Amino acid sequence: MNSSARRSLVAAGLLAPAALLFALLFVWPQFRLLGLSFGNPAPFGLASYERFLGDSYYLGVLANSLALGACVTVVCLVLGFPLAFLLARAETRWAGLLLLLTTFPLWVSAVVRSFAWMVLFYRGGTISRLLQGSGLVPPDFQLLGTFSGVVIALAQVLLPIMILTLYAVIRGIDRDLEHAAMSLGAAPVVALWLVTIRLARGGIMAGSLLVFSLSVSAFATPSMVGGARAHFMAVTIYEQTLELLDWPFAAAISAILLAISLAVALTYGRLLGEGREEAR
Amino acid sequence: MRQGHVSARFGRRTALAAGMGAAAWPLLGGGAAAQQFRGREIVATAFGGPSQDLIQRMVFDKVQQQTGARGTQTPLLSAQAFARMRAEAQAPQIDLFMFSGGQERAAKADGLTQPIPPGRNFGNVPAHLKDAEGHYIAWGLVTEGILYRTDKVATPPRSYKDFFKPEFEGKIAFPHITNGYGTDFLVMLAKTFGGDERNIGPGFDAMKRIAPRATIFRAAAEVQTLFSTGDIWIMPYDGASAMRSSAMGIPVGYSVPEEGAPYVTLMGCVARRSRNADIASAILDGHLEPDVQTAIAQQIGWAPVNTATQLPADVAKFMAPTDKLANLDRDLINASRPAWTERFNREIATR
Amino acid sequence: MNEAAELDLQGLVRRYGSTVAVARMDLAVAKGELVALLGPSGCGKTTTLRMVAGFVDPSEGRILLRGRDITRVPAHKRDMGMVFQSYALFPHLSVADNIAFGLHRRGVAKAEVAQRVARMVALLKLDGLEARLPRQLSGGQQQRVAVGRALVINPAVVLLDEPFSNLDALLREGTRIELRRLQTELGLTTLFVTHDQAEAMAISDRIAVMNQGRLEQLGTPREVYERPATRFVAGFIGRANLFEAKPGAGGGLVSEDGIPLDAAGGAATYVLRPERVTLVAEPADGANAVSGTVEVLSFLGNGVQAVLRLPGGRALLVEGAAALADRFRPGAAATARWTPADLTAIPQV
Repeated sequence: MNSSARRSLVAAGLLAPAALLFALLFVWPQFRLLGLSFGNPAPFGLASYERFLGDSYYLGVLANSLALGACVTVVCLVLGFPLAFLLARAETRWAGLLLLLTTFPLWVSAVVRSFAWMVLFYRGGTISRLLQGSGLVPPDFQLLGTFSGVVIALAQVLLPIMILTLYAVIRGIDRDLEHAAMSLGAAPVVALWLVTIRLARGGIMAGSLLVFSLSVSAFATPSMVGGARAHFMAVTIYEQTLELLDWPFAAAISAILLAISLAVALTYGRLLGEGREEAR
Repeated sequence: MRQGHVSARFGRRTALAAGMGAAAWPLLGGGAAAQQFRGREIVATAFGGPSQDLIQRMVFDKVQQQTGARGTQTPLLSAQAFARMRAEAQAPQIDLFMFSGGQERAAKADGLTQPIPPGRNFGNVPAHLKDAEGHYIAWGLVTEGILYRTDKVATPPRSYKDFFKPEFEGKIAFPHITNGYGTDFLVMLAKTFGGDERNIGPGFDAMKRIAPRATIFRAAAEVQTLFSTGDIWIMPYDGASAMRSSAMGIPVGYSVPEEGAPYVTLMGCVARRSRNADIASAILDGHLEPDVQTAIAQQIGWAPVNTATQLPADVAKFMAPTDKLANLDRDLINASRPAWTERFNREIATR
Repeated sequence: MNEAAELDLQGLVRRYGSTVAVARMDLAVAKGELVALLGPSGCGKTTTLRMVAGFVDPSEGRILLRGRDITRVPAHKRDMGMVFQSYALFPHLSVADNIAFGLHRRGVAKAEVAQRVARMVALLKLDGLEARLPRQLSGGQQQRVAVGRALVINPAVVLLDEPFSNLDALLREGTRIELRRLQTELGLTTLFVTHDQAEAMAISDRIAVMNQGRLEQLGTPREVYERPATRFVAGFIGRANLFEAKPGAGGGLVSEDGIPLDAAGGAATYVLRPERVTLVAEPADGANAVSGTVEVLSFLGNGVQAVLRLPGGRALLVEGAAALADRFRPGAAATARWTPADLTAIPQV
């Protein structure tokens, strides 16, 4: 056996356990799920899909989830980029510690975190009171059970993911590129826009996709902070699976959510890819 | 949740290792003549947590002392217990099954049960809380009704109609339909306004009137939070929750609506092929002893079914007596649940 | 001179916490002049350049451009064309777009941008590469793009940060001559950071030698070589034999290791450049002569470099014509000689 053949055999051997695990625990269940979603009427039918796509209520749930994903992504991007940029460019040895601090929300379980938000969002909770005091909302307003409340609570936990992704990418961008742009006459903001943000595109896309897909599939926070009036995909899937035991329908909703997430990822990637081609 | 009401309504309790008390064999001085089941063993399901400990101490250990039968409790949610019963129909590992979700009727219908020899206390259980052929019998109830802030509400509510009083606008909370009490509230509203399980329309119509200004919640854990904020004055829930809130210092009272109190039964039944129906009868009879019924009521909040039980007033005020219960058609409710949930999502839980 | 200076650094100080990166730097650069900031790494030369560029704020002092104080003017309003050590070409922009970047920022009309970029492309022999991305270029081409990008905006001052350090040796020499030609032709006022003394000597009008944040000497390449102001400069610029001369017993000077010296001045530190030393076979007496053993002989192409090990332990550096290698073999005894004029006193130590 020559050495290259041996090397590929060793590589295959090393990959095999992970590949097997992946196939067993991910690919196979996905196929089962897909199969299940076509199980009504048996043995093969599209009734579950027709029921979802033909019903404005369920389409509204879908739109709600997509809007949630979009809003959380935008909030995380707008808040996360400046933070990630400052941390990446900070010339202090505390930067590492500060980065660690931003990940704190990830250390707390989703249920505990959501309960904390609920306490703040109740009519008498601190945040709701602040808003009431500002006069922007009616006196009995509460953030609990509102779309904005869910966006805030989700953005809080997903922000670290955005920051970590962007931080790594911005750290990889030579700082002298910004200096070069400035010495050529670009104001710092212009340099940021023309150079750093263009080059951080990959990270922006990765972070946004991560945050978007985690938002549309989030369950605990939407169901707890959003309450009974929040109709999101993951909550609906949970209801159909565990409360109403309509597995084919739940599988169909899951498949639709998966397909849409994939489509969003591909479109987003294409758009950013085109942008990069243009820049060439 | 279609099955397993205990888990949905009381929150998941840590399942304690089964059979803690079973380690001790009866002391030999226990009176040999009375030890009719000596050397035999019985396995029963349990709801876990404090109730299991209490029952082990007051029922199983006592039966062991008196009869010599060693009892083991294993915590199982009702739905899982029913699945076990079905799977082990030919060779049951568990003799005595405890259900909180009405599974006993399905079990009897499927031929999975056998008649239980009547015990001393069985006669004190009202007929609608036991099977006419003796296949199952209730030993406790979770009674629902109207919970209210005693400091904010001057006149205790008497009826489901009170939810429509103008002074309660914005102060009402009720559980989501996927919470069993939410379904019961819907059915009781239907009954109050001329409908019933078969004609649920009036229930939805009534709910629609209060829903826009009401807080709809999902988790049992939220009940105390909602009351403690002071924003919520009144909600349909169970008396045990009111008792717990009250013990925590939140002034929450319970009242039995004049339309009747919906309830959840804690039922025992015996696997068809079990050879221990006689011991199971002793165990269930132990549950029904008035002192045990009182202890369960005081410590767990489950209402007694033995009509001979005399509850202290401070406990009695949190539970409905057996003659004030509203009997709901659980089979029909369970069958209608998917359709009602859809309707609830579209008509009630909206912005 | 300060009145006429194009770029004038006055008492520039930069501290990082308790560390002083640049200590009181005074430097005036005349119009069209190329001044090198030379020194080992960490000497403060890059910090100085970045203060001029506006990337680092001075802790003290002023920077004047044509008499105007630009100390607090942000980088993008300073009108400096900088070539970075890493080139810092925008990886997502083509060669043409990289060069045009500064023109676009200045709002130059489209047609003129095209024209000026084309001129720069021609000047730097980048024809045909306009549409390429930086990563598709060789190191030398990237360097030329970086230069073109800095020059096309007609900056008041050109700042070069080790612009040749990423090129291989062969390319480096040609490129620096080319850059010097361009700089002279265009009359560009240039500040040039390097750690390579040969590079600084080759293309600078004047060299500012820096060490540990201080400016050690400022002068033409010849001045700093022939009349080093400090021991550091003497050692850093070219190779040097140093003698600590003190009055000896006989009234003449004697070095710290007992070599009798005959020099124009009195007690001082003296520099003796290796190429000023003559190596002979026959022994000699008196001052400015010392015998030892030839330890190393290295052939350099244009000459030979030798190390003469003296009895006192000193390794005396000698450089001479290639013929030296014919006359001596390692291990041979030899005598080194020089004249009083070959010894240059260092004013301060």
